Amino acid sequence: MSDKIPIVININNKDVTLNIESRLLLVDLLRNNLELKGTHIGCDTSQCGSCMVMIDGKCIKSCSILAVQCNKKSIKTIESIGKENNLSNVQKAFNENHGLQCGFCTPGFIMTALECKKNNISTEEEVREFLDGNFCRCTGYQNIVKSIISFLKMS
Amino acid sequence: MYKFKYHKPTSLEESINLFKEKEFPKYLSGGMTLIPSMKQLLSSPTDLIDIQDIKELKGIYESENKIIIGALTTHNEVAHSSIIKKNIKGLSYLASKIADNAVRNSGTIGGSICNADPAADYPAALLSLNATINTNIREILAKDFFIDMFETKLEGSEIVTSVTFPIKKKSFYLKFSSQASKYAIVGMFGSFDGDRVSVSITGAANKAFNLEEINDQSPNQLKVYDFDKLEFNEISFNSDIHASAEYRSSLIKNMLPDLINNIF
Repeated sequence: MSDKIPIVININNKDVTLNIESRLLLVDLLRNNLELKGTHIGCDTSQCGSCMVMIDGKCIKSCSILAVQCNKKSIKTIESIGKENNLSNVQKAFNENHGLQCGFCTPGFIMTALECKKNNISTEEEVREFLDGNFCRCTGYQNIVKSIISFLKMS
Repeated sequence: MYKFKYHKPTSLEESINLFKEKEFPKYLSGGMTLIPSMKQLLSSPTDLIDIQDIKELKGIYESENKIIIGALTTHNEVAHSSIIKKNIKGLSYLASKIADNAVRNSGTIGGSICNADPAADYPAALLSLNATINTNIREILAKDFFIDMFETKLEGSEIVTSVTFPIKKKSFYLKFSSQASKYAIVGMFGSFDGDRVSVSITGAANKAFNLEEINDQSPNQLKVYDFDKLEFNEISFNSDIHASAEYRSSLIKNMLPDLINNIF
């Protein structure tokens, strides 16, 4: 008898049917099974937020959830946010405000920035508090906060 | 991650029956503590029973001066609920300060209290507000529910279904947290029922406790109370890499005036 469990997940607007082991983490499913390498593994202990994705419209750290828990759910990863020659507003804001240096943590910050907008966050203080859970080891956060505030001001 | 079996029951009864059948099962709700613990082998259940789809465990209701919060309600749902904001403002504020946004999107009130982390936020509110924890078989008062570090009154397959809070219009939560984890080094929840002020502390000892020394003080007395004279008899403070026992008791004394001012 196979220990694998059948699941159907909508990933970046595409239904995907898979047979997976119960112990497979969502982040490993995305990176290894689906080759979506934009979601990064930073700390692998739920601290850093580099693996942030949206599940049914809400940010979740994909290293802290089993892929089987996402059965019948809708997942958005950084790959769905914009394209190299057609950046989304949030990516433009990071680009224009120098909101990244090495870029490793950026996919996670982008996902959090999108939820900031959904939650009608506007002030710098609110943005900084909302960024708890996303670590950046390069920028000192100044330009990340600047980028997100600039994104939030866009219509 | 090690191998385990995953189950997705659709009813409370099915969940409990599954639990009884398995060798070393655990219920999985938000998984914000359980999954990271399993990755590090701090917990190694043979079977995970995922209860996220059990409807009986969801929802926030108001009934006869009480608020009932389903066990699967996430921290962000508590933080944003207009019913809770209107009736127990301190509780929604507490929920908004748990961990980070991603954890609050997934972590649940039931999961948090069953885990009984001594530094978790909810236990302080449950004690101060004199909440009742409802399970599939009984009702347990918060003061009886938390036994020790990571230990509760729950037995075997017993499952928390909801928590009932008496409405208290005046309440506040104040936390001095670890900057890395946002867990409380000292967290204090204060509430006023029109007669008495009840203050409960989390993060400071093996479990949350009620500050009984000041239970007989009126609000006006507390506003000018000399908290330096608190003795904390029978309280054994935690001492760890975050803070010494002396530091924790000093934090409590220094945070209390701010808490009292914010309740009223």
